[in-house]
Amino acid sequence: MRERRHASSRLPWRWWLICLAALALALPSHAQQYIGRRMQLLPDSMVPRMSVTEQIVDLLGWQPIEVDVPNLGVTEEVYWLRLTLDPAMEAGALLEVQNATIDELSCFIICDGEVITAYGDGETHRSGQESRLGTYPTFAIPLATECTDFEVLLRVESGKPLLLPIRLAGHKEVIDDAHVRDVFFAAYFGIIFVMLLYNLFLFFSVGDRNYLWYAFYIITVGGAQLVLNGYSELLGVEQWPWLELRVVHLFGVLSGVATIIFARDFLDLPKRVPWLNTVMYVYMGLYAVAMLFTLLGLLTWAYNLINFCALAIFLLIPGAVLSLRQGFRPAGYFLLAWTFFIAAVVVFVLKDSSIIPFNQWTFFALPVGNAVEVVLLSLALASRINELKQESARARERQLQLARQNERIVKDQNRLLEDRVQERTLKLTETNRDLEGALNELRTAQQQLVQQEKLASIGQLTAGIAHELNNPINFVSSSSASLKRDFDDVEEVLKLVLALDPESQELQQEVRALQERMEELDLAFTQDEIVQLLKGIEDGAGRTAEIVKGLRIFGRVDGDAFAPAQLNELLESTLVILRSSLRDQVAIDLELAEDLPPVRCQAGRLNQVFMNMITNAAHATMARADLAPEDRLIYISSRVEGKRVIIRIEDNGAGMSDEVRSQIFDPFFTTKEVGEGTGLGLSIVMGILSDHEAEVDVTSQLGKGTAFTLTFKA
Amino acid sequence: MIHVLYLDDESHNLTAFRAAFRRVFKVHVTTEPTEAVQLLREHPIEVVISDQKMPALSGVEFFELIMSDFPDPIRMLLTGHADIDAVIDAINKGQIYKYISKPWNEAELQALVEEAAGQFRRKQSVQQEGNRLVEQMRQAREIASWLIEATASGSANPAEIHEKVKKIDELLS
Repeated sequence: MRERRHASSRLPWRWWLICLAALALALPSHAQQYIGRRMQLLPDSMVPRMSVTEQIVDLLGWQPIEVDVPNLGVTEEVYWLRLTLDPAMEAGALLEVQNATIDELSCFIICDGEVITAYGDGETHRSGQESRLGTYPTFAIPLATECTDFEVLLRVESGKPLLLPIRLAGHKEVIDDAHVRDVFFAAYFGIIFVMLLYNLFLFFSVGDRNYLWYAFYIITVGGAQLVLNGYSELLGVEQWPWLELRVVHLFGVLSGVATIIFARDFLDLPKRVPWLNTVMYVYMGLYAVAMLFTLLGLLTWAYNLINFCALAIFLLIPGAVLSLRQGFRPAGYFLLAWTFFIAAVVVFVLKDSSIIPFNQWTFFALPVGNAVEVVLLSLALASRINELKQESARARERQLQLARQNERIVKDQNRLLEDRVQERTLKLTETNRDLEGALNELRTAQQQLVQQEKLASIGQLTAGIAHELNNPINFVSSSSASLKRDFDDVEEVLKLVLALDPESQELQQEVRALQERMEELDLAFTQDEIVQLLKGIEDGAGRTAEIVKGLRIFGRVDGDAFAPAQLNELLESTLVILRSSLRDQVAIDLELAEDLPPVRCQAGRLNQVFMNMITNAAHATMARADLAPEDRLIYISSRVEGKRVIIRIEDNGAGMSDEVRSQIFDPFFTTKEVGEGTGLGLSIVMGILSDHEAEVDVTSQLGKGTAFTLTFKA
Repeated sequence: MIHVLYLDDESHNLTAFRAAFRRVFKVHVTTEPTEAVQLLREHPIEVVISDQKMPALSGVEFFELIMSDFPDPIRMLLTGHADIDAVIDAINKGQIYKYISKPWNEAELQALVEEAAGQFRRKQSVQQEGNRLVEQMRQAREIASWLIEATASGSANPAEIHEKVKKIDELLS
């Protein structure tokens, strides 16, 4: 980076030398003689009104001019210039006023106090004969050998600087010089034109609006040179006198504005040198004022303002320096070009102020400097584009580098990540193993819990059976003992009856004794009692048998094998088991379909399901406080629907909320007090039912009841 | 004969009970608690047996019901396996004398009833004796006040006084 900048800072110096050489070569070799010192000056304000031209020559107040090239500045004053000629030597020569921008120029040739020839020239006033040879007003001095007082009177009036390089020269010399100038300006405009085309082309191909500003700048600056040096005819403005009078001002304003816009954009002032940017805005404002003056016809004011604004070009030097300091390399080119231009301007101004002599060298300094500047600025623009390109290339390089770096980082990160992932995987595997262990433990625990739940239901079953069996066993065994005693009594009486001797004479007595004994034994009651006892025994036996049957179905040994079974039977056997505990608590309404097809099931496990559900239903009815015990009801039904068997267990108990309903099948979920339920009942039920591919539908209404609908495939 | 009341919702149990013990006790049976109260009123029941598990009210509840009106009869509870907590509670509160589990052993049950009846009778006799003693004391006190009055006024003759003193001796013996 440092190396490159060093090289570039050397480059402008080389350009400097080349440009200087070009400038030197472009200069015409001979010097011209200006005759300012031979002339006298009279402001028009000193001339009495209504004076005749001839009278002016002899007026008092003519001031001698102390310089070769008088500069009257920008003034509203009209001046008269008087030149005394040598009729012998100078008649037939040409008087050339080398200022193309004089608004009104009149020339009177006076011979012995009489005007013999009058010329008019100027941008507005073209009275008299054609007076130009080349670009400058040129007046032919007539031959007047008989004249003793041979004088030339010039009247000049202009809203532009009245710089008056006047000379007397031969026809050929004037034409030659005009040719030189033409060639010179042709070269100059050629350069300008080429640069214009070049930059316009670049603008259209690159699209950088800087080129457009630059083209604008070139047009205006070139145009300014055009009108300043008397080539305004090329623009055809003489057809509109109003415009012709102002064309210099207009180009002055436009070129100033174009310069500011271009430089501002080129140097990127808003970003790099904001204060200067603000100053430039001020100048733009001033130019606007100058424009206004121009349009209003305050041409002198306008010109002075434009001149003042031209100082802005000096300010661009520090702007370029600051920009360059910030590392903006094209500012170097700009600085070089601008220095050139300023140098040329300085020469131009010094020449106009007669500080340095007015000659071809100083005269051409401005266009040459301007041409060099235009070319250099073109280069600067190219460099700027280059710079921008390089910058973007550098940026791309940086991005690429960054991307590479990122890639490397990403790679490293990836490796790190991979390591981490591996590490994590290892850890996870370990955790997994631990979890598996935990899961196994949990499974074991769950199995134990399921087992416990099973045992609990077996316990419930046992208690229920014990209850159910207690009564029949009690009265069967008790009754049989009593029956034996009753039969003893009957037997005794029977023996007495058998011992009766029909032949005996004491038969009547014996019968009476027998009757007495029978009465004593209350045999009538005994007979009745025997019937009752036998009925009790029969009843007890029947009930015991029923219980045992239920028990057999309920506790089927083949409980875990799938086998066809009648769900009705299973329900009934479950109810037998539950009857003792439910009988006094809740009424059970059983409505079983008779034509129920058998269902392949694990009967033992289904019994557990029914028992659990019916017990839950019973508990639900008991939990409903507003329900009298005699109103508690469980409605159990079975029905066939196509190939499906539907069991419905419905209660009018407390019901449950949707939230509870959604959780009832979750393991360990219980609404009972701690220690009263494991919360596993329904979760086991769900497991069993899903083993049977049975569908479970639960509807419940808080405070109204719950219905479980189980659908089995037949 | 000992009067026994047995309350059970299972009528077969009543039949069996009566058949088993009608020869040794005066047996009263019913399935209805209200009828049981009626029987308590009508008969000198000494032992009340109730089944614990009944639809309308439990045995313990039944005992609580009759406690105030019939505190004296000895109460015995017949139970199945369950409700052992209620039984324990009842025993601790002193509501029942014994509990018998079904199925009952006839001899055991008979012995228990007799024992309960003995208890009842002992209690009854102690009460009667107490009543009797109170009566005697009252009579003795009556005679004593008469004697004090008679000796103070000097209206009584010695034989009469002697007879009265002899009577007090008899009462206090």
